[in-house]
Amino acid sequence: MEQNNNSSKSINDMLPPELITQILLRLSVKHLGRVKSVSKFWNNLISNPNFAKSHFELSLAPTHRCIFIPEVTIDHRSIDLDALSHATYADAAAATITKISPSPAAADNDSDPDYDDHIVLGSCRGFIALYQYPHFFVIWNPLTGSHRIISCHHIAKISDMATNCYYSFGGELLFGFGYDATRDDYLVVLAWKDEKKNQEGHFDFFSLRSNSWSSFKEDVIIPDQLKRRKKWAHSMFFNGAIHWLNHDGDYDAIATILVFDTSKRKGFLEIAVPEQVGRYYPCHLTVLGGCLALYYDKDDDDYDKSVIWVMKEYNVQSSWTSYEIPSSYFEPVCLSEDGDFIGFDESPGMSKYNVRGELLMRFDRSCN
Amino acid sequence: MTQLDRLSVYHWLNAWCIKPVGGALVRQEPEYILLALMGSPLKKIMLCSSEKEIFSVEEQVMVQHSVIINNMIEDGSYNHEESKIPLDCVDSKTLKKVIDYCTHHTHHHNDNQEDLEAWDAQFLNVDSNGLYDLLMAANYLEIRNLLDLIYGTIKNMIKGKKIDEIRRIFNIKDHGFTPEEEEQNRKEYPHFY
Repeated sequence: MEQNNNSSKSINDMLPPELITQILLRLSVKHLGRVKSVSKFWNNLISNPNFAKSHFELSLAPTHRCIFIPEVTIDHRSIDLDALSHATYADAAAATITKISPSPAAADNDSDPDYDDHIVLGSCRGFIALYQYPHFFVIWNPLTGSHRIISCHHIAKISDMATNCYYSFGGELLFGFGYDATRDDYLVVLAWKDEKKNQEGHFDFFSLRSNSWSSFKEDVIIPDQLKRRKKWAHSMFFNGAIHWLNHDGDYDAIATILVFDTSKRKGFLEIAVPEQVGRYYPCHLTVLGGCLALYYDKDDDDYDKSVIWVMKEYNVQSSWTSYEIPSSYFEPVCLSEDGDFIGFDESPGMSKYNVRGELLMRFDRSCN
Repeated sequence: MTQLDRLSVYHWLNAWCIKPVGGALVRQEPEYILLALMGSPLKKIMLCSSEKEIFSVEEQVMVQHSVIINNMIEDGSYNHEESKIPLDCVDSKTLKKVIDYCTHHTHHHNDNQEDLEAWDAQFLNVDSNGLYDLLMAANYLEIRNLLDLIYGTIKNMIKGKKIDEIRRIFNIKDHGFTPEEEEQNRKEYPHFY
């Protein structure tokens, strides 16, 4: 590229803002963070709220990543799922895992290492929601490092539980994090029953746009099963709605998936889950290949086995398809481009199995 | 006509000393003459640059690449006998480049990927001003593949470069930050600079 700097003007003088915006929209989030400091003008373009929305929707620089936060250390890892799904050799696959800065909730080094300081509650469009003791939620963008702290100390329930018995937290509270496309807003939703006031139901939400808490106006019926759940259930944002796996772990229990549409906000839908799933606990909800999926460790035989159920068509019962992986505690993370399951196993490492449960590849996840 | 090897026919005609006709301001492709002789003229359209220079180009070529020109021809606002399409925001130098790009990609669309990419790289070997002019022309004419090519090239000029380098490449002499802001940025992210 020849440069004729004496007579060339700056790109900001030569091109109209719309075209400069188009250039910036094609950069990945990683590059945008750096490029914001090139010029004030570029900074303003990128900071424009519509930019973030267009960038996400354009997906010209998509980054599908999986963040995992190992329990014992504060070393967070990020896995590039797009690269991982294409990796054909163990070395290439291991190279997709990189270190990232820890979440802001984990930053406090004074805390008791036994406390799970940063409980991951859910994720949505690249943001991760975490709980921070005693009464805060943190919305964190792991790629840029920026975060927002939301206080919920006015919700007596949470302060109560935080001071009393930390670990019984999860049972009576439903937490969710999602996005409302019609209002271009992110929501943190909280549902609980106040046993001091005759099991009075509460369903509040925090809007990131308005930076405030409100209650849902409709009389939203909070599902009964809420009472019996044992721990924080991951909320998962998918298909324009927040999903939770409602499963209390009793033998012969029926598990269901609760769905709350963040745009319509009309109440909870229930998606039934195959009967066989009910017996297994814990069971996890995830998304694989653009479909809802469940997985659990099948521990009733002598053999190590994990089972994955994929709902190939959303909310169509007959489309639940099961797969068996000959490894205990296999946690699928994504599908490869050939439809194989890639996930964490016990080794510690990651492995790839095809749909018939045959092991195709294994690699270390303790990265670069 | 696409069946025949134009180049070999041209050489044949050349051997018979039939030279293409050219006026002072009107450029005509040699093929036009030989096709006229063959009895089936290729439809041409006239594009007029901001400097009032007229370029004659195969309709097929422009219609395949530019959404704007395609729409004009389809909705009948372009009359082949008389009209020329005025492109007041594209100068002659840029318009010629754009026509080169579209013509090459139409005639060579069957080439292998590597050859096309090499040609594209050579095509974009211009100075920054030329690149910006091409971008604006491609944007105005809505030529999708040329736009993607240019955006891709600019993206590569940015990726992996330090901020000082990026400012040099895009000739951003005044970054617009206050001295305090700039100092703060450099302190917080020294590895970016």
